[in-house]
Amino acid sequence: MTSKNTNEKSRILIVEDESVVALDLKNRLQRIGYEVIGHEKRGEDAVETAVHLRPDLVLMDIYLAGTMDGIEAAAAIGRSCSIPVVYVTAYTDDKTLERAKVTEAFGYIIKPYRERELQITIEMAIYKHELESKLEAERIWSESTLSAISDGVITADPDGYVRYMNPEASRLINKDLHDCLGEQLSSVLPLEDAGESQNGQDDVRVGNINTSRTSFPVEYSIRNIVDSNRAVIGSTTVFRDISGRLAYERELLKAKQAAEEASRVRSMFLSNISHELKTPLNSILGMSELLMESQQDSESREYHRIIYDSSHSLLNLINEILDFSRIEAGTMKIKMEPFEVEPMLEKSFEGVLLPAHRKGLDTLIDVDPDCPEQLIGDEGRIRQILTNLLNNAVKFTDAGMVRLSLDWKGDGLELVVSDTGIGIPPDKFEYIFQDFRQLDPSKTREYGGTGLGLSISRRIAEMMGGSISVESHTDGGSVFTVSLPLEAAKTTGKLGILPPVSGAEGSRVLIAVESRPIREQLQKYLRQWGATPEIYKAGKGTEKKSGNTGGADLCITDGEFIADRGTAFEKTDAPLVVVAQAGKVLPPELRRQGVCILIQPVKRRVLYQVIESVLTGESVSEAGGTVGNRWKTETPGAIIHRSKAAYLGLLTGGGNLWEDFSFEEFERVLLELKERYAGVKEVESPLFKLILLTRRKDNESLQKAINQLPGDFRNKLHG
Amino acid sequence: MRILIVEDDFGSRRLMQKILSDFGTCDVVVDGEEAVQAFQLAWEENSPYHVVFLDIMMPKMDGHEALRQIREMEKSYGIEPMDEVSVIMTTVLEDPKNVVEAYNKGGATSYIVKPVDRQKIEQELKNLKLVE
Repeated sequence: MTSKNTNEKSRILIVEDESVVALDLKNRLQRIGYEVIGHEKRGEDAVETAVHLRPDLVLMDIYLAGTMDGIEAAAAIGRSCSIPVVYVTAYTDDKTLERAKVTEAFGYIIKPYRERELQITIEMAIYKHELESKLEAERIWSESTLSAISDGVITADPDGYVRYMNPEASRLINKDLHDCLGEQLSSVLPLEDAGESQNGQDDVRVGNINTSRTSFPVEYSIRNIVDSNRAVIGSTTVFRDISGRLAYERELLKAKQAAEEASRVRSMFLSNISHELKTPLNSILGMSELLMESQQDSESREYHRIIYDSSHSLLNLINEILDFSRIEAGTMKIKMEPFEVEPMLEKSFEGVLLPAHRKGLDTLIDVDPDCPEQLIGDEGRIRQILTNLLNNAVKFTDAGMVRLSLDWKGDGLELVVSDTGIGIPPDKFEYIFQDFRQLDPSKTREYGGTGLGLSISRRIAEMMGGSISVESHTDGGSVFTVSLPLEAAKTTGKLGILPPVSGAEGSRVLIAVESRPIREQLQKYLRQWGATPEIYKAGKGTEKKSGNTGGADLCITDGEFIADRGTAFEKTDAPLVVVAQAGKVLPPELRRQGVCILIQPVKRRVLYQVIESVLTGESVSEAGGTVGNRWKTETPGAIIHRSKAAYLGLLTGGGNLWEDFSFEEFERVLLELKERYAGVKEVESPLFKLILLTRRKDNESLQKAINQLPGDFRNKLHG
Repeated sequence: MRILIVEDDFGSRRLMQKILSDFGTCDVVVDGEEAVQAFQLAWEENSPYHVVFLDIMMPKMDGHEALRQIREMEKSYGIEPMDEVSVIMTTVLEDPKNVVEAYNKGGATSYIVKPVDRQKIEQELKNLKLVE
């Protein structure tokens, strides 16, 4: 009753020449629940009807009307379509049976038969037929799949005889499937193994196929086919032609070697050109420095200074570009050698001292006593980073201070460069580290620069396993932090706090310094070293806080303080240590014995030696001599500056220009004033005129113009 | 002769100042803004400049803009085009485009290519009939 679709009745065709029997059969079938779609008496008609109507089953009597009997009809039907045939007949002789068997009938019912027998046979026939159809469909699907595989597939039985070969395999070995069926696998596919494949799969190997017709390299794998009982029932060989791939790999290798060669050539070129560029530049630098020092008149000195500074800028530029190239080529090497930390910090400041002090910026170095004295790393590169950051700090700061601090973190350093400059907007924090990017291109005109400094610094820091980050200071400047993991050198101690000076307990040291951070640092050091620091304050006309200056064992002061606040110190006999910015002129009152001049930033150990010498009885000039009154040698060719206030005094109170007058400094003061008084015509205009005259470097006309300044100009400046 | 040098690079302007001091009184300014201010100041004091050496690439206000403002000022002072101040643009070789722009649209008188030397300057001044 049922067929694949339970709702449908199975459709049956009756082929029976006796009408009565046919009718009876029809009734029985319908009673069981089948649909009878037709009744034929002749074999030929049965074939035609079957092909045309496609019943689910044909009940075929063997002896029929017409020229065709049931067996022939069944065979004919079987040739055109796949419909199960069940014979219903009375004949059971051997000959008939033999003939019937050939037609692959699905059942044989002998008359007379019971109804039940009929039904069961029909059901089983239909069921078997369905199974066979499914099987056939599966077979077709499998074969299509194998045909569609782009690799060659050959299956063999457990004894090695080829059972199947897909079209791709056939194509690859140039053999027909039929020629290979039943042949030994090893002769069909002569395979020479060449080892494991590099592609990662376990059982994939490479080898060569060598037949009489063709030869090529392959990647292949042979796996066993097992049944549900884990018995081996055959093998599958999958293989593919890799001659294309091998050729590609050869090309790749060639390209790689070419690239490496190019890189080598470039490295050599870089080191050569480095040498070629820097050699003449070194001569220029060296010679101009010599000339600078030997010039007598300030005009010549100034020209030579310009040559020297420009050459220096060029050298820095070349170094930046070479560094950049080296980093890009991956050829920059980081050294790991022991170096001394404090001198490293002091040295990195050296290059920016002059520009910083020319702008009147204070400079300061803070050390962490817990930091080891010696660390292992690349001192030159670390200094390069610091110098770059310090340079930027000076570039972007017009007033205040630039400070370098060291913090030891146990497993590394934190170096902080902070300034009181114009700061960096937070949305530019990452931007400034990009190649060739600069925050303010107009500063490039003034100071030069490729925009590579921060990018290179960051990459060097990263090469050392560290990092650089930036933040804004609360009061407007910037803070750059360099973190570097560094190890202490084997036998090193810590920087430590220098011990109190023996025999100097309670010595009174007067501090008269404009800058608060420097003042605080001096206080801290003096207390650590056993002295009693006192802050000297003298406002305009107000009484000094600490009473008289006499009786102090030592006075520490800066250049600003003296010139501004009057001449309190000339009355003191106390030894004087001047912590000054480079190029500050020392007023005549102080050009006496007993003055030691130290250039900012204060070097801790140097200051200690001076203090120690003085407080234990040596004279300051001796102490200064041994430690180094580097007044003249630290400022080669530098123009001597007066304090800003002095210039201001010149503009408001009249007075004469001193001998060592600095046009540049005066121009700078005038420009600052012009900006401050922008919009105030009575001040801006005469200032601009003075600026033009200053640039003419004509002492006389300038002095005349100053003397002719109108009264309300002076009033405006005062107020 | 009154000469105005407009140049933002320190070395360059000192050099030009040195060379041009032989030809007249030089005033030096460092950007376009100062150039315009100086030009105006000179007029107000009744001693205008005879020639201006104008750099193109400068911060704050570039040479083109400064030139435009100077020409406008001259127009407002009622100066005839013939009597306008001579403006010599100084430029590095890489930006001929810039120079042509100034030349055709801005009313520059001529241009010199950096680096400058005494010969170039003297030749230019002669061409403009500012010196013999």
